[in-house]
Amino acid sequence: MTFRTKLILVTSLTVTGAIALVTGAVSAGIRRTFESIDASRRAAVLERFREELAAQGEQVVRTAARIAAADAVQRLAVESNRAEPDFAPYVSEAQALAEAHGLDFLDLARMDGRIISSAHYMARFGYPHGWALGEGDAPGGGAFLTRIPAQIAPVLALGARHRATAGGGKGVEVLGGRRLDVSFLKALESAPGVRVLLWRAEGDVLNAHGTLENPTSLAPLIEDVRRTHKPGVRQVEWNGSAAKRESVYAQPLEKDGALLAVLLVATSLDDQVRLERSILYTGLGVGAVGILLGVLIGWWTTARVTHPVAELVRGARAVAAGDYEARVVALSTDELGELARAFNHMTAQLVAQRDRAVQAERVAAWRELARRLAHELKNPLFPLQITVENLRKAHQVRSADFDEILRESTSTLLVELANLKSITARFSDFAKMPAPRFESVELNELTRQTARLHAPTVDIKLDLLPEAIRLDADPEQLRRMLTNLILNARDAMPDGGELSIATGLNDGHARIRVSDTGQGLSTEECERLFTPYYTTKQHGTGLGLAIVQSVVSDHRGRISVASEPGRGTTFIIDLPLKGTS
Amino acid sequence: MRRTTFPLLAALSLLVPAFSLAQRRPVYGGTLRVEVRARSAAEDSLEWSSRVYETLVRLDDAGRPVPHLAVSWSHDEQRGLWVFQPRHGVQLHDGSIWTPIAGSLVFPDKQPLPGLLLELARQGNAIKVPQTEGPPLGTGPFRLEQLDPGRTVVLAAHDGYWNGRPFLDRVEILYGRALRDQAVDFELDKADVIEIAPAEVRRLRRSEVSIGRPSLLIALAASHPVRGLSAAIDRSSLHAVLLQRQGEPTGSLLPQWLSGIAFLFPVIRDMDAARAAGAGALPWTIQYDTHEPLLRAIAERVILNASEAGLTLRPAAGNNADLRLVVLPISSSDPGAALADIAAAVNLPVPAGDTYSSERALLDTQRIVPLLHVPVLHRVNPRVHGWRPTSPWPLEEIWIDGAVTRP
Repeated sequence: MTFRTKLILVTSLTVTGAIALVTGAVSAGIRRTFESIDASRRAAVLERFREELAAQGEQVVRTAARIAAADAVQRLAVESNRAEPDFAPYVSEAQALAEAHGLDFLDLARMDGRIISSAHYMARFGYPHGWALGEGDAPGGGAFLTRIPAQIAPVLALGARHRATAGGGKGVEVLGGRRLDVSFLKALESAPGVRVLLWRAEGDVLNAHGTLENPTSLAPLIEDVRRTHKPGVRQVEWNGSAAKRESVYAQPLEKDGALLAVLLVATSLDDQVRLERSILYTGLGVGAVGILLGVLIGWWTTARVTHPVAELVRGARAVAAGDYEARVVALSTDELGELARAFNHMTAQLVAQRDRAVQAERVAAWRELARRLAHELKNPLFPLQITVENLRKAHQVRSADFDEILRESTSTLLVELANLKSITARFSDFAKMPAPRFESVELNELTRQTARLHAPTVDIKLDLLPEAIRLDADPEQLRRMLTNLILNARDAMPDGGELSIATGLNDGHARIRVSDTGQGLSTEECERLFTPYYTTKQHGTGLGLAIVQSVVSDHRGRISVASEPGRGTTFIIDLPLKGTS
Repeated sequence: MRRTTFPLLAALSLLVPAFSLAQRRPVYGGTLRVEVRARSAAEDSLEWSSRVYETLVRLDDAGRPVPHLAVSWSHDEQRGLWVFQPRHGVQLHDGSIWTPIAGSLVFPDKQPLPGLLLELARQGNAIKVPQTEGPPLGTGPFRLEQLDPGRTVVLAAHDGYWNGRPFLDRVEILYGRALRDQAVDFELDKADVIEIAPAEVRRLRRSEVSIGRPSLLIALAASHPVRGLSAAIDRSSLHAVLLQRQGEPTGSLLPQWLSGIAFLFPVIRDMDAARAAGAGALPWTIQYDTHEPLLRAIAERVILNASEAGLTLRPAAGNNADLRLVVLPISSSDPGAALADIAAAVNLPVPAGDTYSSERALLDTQRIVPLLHVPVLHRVNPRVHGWRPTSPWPLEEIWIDGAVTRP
């Protein structure tokens, strides 16, 4: 992964992460705000419930008192004081009284609790009323929640109890009640988005419009409350739709420890869901834009950073390739600019050092040359000197053998002069190696020809690529190069051995491998191998491999050597297939 | 002045009794308007059908068959027939004379005469002459002018009735009226005779209330034996409170005044026996008329009583309930006939034997549980005279004060 890609990724991730954090924080904040609003609404509804319950309870209490004061009840109270009261004629009284006073339930009962007349369940005369037995249900007290026995099942109602007495202290009890039903719930709902429900012990759930058709979604919450008798809150999804979610608060309504009903306050989460969704989509949108911006910014930023770095890399590669004139443009004054300037300075220093090295090498080479020259010249010069001195001496002494001595001396002089001439010719050859004349050369054929020339003197094993290898090269120089390598290899195997030449292709280059199984070279010898006039042989000018290197260099190729003392040496030459003329 | 006043007063005083006498005499004319709670009006309604379609023989108050459309009967041994002589000059409602084919009515003598006479006295064997259009023709004092099933019946006086034209011109009977609506109509003078609940009896003047003999049986009819239920029911409370002591609690199918042996069937509530007999019983469903307050109260009371004995009864709509609360009329003054009608009404075969054995056998099936014998209670407009709490209604004897005969 490139630095630019990494930087873009980091920038994008940073932007995305920041947006995600903000979105999450905003959502959490909104959720808390809505929860707070829900709690306020819920508290308001509960307060209204208490008020409504109290108001209706007060009404029921007053109605029960009024009924207790009615003539019919007073007559009943009088009847109860008789020795043998006959309540049969009054069995229908409660119904008329309940209708007249607007009560849903009314039981007129004896003091012992047995019903005389029941408005809502006429058949229960003589049975205990059974719905106002708690400590808080004393006659004349306040209203109370209760479940009133009815024909199908007990009904949740607000009840009140009063007593009507007459004369001898006995009397009748008036137990009146009003059911808690849809109309009661309607009075509680006022704020939009808030619903009031009532779970009754009969198992149904009422809302302000009637019985809820499918209350199963509330079952877990109701079950919790039934089990714990404590308020609870849950989020409820209706019909499995996330769009119809409500936060439902359940308040148990109890009497003497028994759960009579559960008041449910449901606040719609529509707004919250919508807002959260809106925030999420906005976050996603902003995130997408952010990523895009991040990419663009990252691209621009990295361009400003990586371009100079790339320039540096290019420059370094150029320098590595030998272009010491490669420079990097320093456009800025910041660290990257400093780096570019430092690179340029380093390159300049390298050039200077290279020049100095080259100069030093030249000096060394010239010294070596001078030494070699001195060494080479010394050999023929000494005999020359001796011969001339002998000749002078012989002339001086008028030696009888002067003619013989003159003949021998002149022969010797000519030989040594020829030697000198040869030496100077070789030096001259090396010094004035001509520029290569490139033409298309088939390497395998050239190699075969060169090997054939040396076949009489050395056995060469050829391992040539089956396909022809064409390259732009100077055939003459190539022949000279191969010749020098062959001669070098032969000289390295004085006791015989195996000399092999192989050709091939390597990454757009023609490769030539010349291997021998001779003495081999040490590491130090390998390093100095291509230095002109450096030789490991007892004789020779040391120019052979220098010439090889010169040819390779002229062809813009590469030469390397692999050797191990005692195992032999391999020269590897790579020449570009396309010429650089 | 004193000398002329006294004779004047004396003369006036003579006129008052004459005037009073004039008011007491039946007058012809007028329309009797009756309202009932019953929902169906059919040609064979017990209350009035016998006043439209008459039988050859009729039962008197003692349950004895007496001649009616047949004036006499004899046995033709040779032909093996009972021969009944029709009354002559009996006009049908269209004015034609009723003339049996062959001049007399004959029946095979395979059946003993008493049983035959009882059969002939049943309303189902009344004389009806079919017409191509309209209801069949009868011979009774009233003809069927209009029959709107479940709603209205209008009877018009048969001017040519063989026993004398009835006093009333018309009788209008309105069915399916709730007690409250009947009371309102009575107060608004839209009805002359209405039914009342037992609780109303005490409130009204005795002169306005017509209380007959217990002629209705309120019972539970079951599709299968209901063991323990009869012993669980508190009939005394039903009678004392819901019926306001009208009628009588009963453990028998026939009232005491009819069979004379009702006392042999106890009405004592025995919860232990009820629990023992009903142990393990599955819940039963009970169907009753929820629009009728008294029946609803009785049914609810039965449910409560049964629950104390561990028997579960649940109200049910529809006709497939285990139990039905039924009101069965005591349709005949003959115990056998009345028992047969009751058995037929609850889809039980009539056992053979005397009255007690038959009744015992029916009760032992535990598929009918008698609860109460109740009278029909009516409130009658004081202008209506001749009304008696009988079944059928004595329509031919009724006349209305101040009525004027329609031309």
